[in-house]
Amino acid sequence: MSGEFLIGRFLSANPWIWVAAFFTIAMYSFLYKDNVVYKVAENIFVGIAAGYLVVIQYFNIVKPDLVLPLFQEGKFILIIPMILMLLIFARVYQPIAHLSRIPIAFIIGVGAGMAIPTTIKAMILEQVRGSLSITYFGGGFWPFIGGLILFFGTICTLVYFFFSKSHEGVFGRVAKVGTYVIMIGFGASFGYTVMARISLLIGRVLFILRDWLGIIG
Amino acid sequence: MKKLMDRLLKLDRRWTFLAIGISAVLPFLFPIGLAIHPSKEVQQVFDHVQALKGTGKPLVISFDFDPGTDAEVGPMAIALMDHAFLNNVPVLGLNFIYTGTSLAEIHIKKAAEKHGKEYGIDYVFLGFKTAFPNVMINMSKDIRLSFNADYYNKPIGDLPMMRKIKNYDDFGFTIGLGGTRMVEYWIIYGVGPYDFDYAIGCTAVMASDYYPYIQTGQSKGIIGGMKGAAEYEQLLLDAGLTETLGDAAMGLDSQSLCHLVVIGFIVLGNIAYFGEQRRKRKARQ
Repeated sequence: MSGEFLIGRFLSANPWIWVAAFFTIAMYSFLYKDNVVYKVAENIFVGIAAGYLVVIQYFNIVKPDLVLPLFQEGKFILIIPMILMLLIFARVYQPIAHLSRIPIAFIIGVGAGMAIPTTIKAMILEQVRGSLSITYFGGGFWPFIGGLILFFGTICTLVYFFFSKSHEGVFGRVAKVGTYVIMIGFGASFGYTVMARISLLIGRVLFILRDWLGIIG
Repeated sequence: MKKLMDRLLKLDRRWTFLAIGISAVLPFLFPIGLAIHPSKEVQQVFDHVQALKGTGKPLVISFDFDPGTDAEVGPMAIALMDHAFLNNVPVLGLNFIYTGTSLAEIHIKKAAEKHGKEYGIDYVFLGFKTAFPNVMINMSKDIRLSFNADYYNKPIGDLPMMRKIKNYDDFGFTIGLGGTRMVEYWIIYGVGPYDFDYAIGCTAVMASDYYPYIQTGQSKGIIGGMKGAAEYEQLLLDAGLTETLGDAAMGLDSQSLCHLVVIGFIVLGNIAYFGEQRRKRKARQ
């Protein structure tokens, strides 16, 4: 069978598919052992990711939100964020490196101000309310049992993390139940992790078999 | 038996990689066709998207995944857009992680072309924006405060679909598709303060962390990993909207076989480990 027959009929004729296939195999070659092809692919990836970041940031953020409004529409108020942005780069020149703290302080201040109230509401108050709701699984006997397990599981886990009292007697037994609940949680997370990693492999296998080799339809 | 146990404990890990690799490939060549049973959480997402039919309100998709997690989250994006476009629901795409911007555009364009949808009327891609907390807060007032132009630098005012969309009140249903914590930030900075209908689509490794958000109603459902995407594809098929299953369902046979192999290795490893411990104990006595 000639190469010309294979390419186009089975193998992809798109050169970018070949590039992607090469890098996929290069990355998976690490599973056999560390090698130069893997290292080359890894470094190319890092370089491309960094370059891509600069391009995306410029064309999606700096140009439409700063350059065009400032220089074409005359929104001179934008000089302030522009100065703050430039001060970040002061870090690369030691005599003025301290100036980079000004925009960093601004970012941290604004970030914390926005994050603290919203995070407390979404991740603490709402979660407390949800964890104590034994009707979550709906009506009926078994959903009620599910709700109870959730309720007592939460309490037992919290008891386990209460270290101001020694884990002895009834308190210790409740904490012990908490450790079992935590282990079940870890088990579920591990199961999901295996599923996730295998899904990524399957994605690449599908790409190689279908898009590159054309073995499956 | 002892020899076999010793060999198992000293097994070169590359044999396990090979076994997993073969298990991933074989079902594509010889499909098993295992049944897919949609879960309650995926069904809830499906129902919310279905409810958009005829409302004129858009399905808002935050494409916060990159090529590294495309195998898991990409099929969800495709299935969701298929669902929306088949019901003539407009799709509004945006993105908060820069490594996924071009990938998001590829997915949206492909889905739109497949269903013959027109840019600016049936779908819009706003592109990437940094400082997501500010963007999410701005979107509660006016989306134009953060996105005055789309990904292609077209002013938002020039896009017919965007004339009807100002803030969260005009969003039909929002879904964050992510391989990062961005799906959670939507809840912290968006759903928490502004209370709109939102659901999570994430990688399987993240899914167990996000189930509590369903319980609180902060997420209306979860599509978790390739399995969740396959369930969504199954729901589309069951509803008569599509005639075939997609990539996620195609990979599920491999997924199941690989899981069996992993379980097999875990069981064998434990048998060998406990056998070894027993032998050591006996030798000490």
